[in-house]
Amino acid sequence: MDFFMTYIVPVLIVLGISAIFAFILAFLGEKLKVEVDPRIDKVRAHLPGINCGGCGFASCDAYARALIEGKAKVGDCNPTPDDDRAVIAELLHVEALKVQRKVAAVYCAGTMGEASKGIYHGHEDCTSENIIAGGVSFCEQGCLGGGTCVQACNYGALSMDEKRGVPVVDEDVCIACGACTQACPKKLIGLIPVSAKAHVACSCKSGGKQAIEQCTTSCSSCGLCAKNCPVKAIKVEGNLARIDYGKCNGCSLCATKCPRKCIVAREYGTDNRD
Amino acid sequence: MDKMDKKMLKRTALGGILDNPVFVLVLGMCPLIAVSTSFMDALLMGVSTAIVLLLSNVAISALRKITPSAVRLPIYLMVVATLVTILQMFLDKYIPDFYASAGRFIALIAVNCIILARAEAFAGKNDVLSSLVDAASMGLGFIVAIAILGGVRQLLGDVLGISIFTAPAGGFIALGLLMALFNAALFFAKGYAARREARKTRREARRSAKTVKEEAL
Repeated sequence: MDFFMTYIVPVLIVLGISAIFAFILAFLGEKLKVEVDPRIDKVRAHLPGINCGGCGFASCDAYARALIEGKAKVGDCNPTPDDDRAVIAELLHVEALKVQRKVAAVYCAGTMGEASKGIYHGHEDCTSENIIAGGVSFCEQGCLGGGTCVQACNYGALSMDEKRGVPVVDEDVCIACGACTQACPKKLIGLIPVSAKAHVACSCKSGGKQAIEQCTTSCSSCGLCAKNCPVKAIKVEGNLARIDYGKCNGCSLCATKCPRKCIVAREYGTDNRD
Repeated sequence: MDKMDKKMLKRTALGGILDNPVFVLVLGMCPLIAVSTSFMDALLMGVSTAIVLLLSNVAISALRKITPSAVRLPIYLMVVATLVTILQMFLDKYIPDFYASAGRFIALIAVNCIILARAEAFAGKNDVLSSLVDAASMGLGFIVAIAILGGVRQLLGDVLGISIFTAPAGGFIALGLLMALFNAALFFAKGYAARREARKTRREARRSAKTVKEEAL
């Protein structure tokens, strides 16, 4: 009897109480069910589910809700493959836009080895270094080489090129979530179409003589690229050449014509998902 | 005996002030700081917590005779978690905006110190009526405290633009200042009550002495 009171009764009481509570909850759960748009779950199932935040929403769930509510566009998510995108577009009754897969590209060829103002001994982080007089390099726009972008990447798509002191993008791994573009204090990383055949690896806005004196691979704003481009896809604005990928036909003539070698022909040129 | 019970009940009813869960016991800081950036959210959070506290105190007190003391904590947690789940369902259905912004803190009511402290310290040992009074008093104490904190933070942070008060650090600063004020007020009130009590005893003593004297004469 003692054994029964000490060991069995508590078990029975806990079991009994939990059974009653479980029933109450199941009953109320059914009664108080909140109707959610069933499409949200369906849309969510076709999103990558990595919560990278590149679309501007906190999670894939939030993005799926925003899609249903019409607050976001189907193309806002870079990592979604095209066939999933088509399914989502069909669910939302909108036209599926074929969105070019994008990858991150660094608008700097490296300032390591260039003349510098001094030596930075602080916390190994670009944001911290940038606060102190914009970093040690004479180039105000150049890469600081601290690797803040490498740390920001959750997919290991970035690594530091120690020789040049700039990050290198592994385009097979990059999902274009945009985390690195946010992390860089100099805003040196942008997203470009993966099929792009050339990109301007410089952000120097000084132009002319100053640009040439500061760095060996800076854009001197000579404008040769713009003159030679057969489809007028390059413009020199604010002493800096920029390629309009909407117009670019991929001839990569600009890369061969650039006297400063700051327009780089891209080796990786095909969309590996097609 | 009846008078004793009445006195106990009175003390219980004043628990919300004398043992204010926020300003005196300093319990349940997580929802207090997290959901007190605006007056309305703070009020709703306070009411949600108070409702769970009220129902859990009553349920735990009603179950106290059949609760074996070895497994009382799992049972308390089960009661509170069930009530919180029900509350979540109601909020999701009827106040979805509040639930969307403060939902995760509603779930955390299940492990709120105030509720478990009252279950362990009071409801598990006292009858249903006293537990109801205790929960009502403590709940009101919490509602008033979090609502004042929310109001002060909204006033200083949003209206006057002192942005630190919208951040958690400012929440603690505001809480500390309010806590100091409350305890100072409580100190003086207690002193006043003690002096009044002392006067009353003296008067009674004098009166009884007088009667004794008159009888002797």
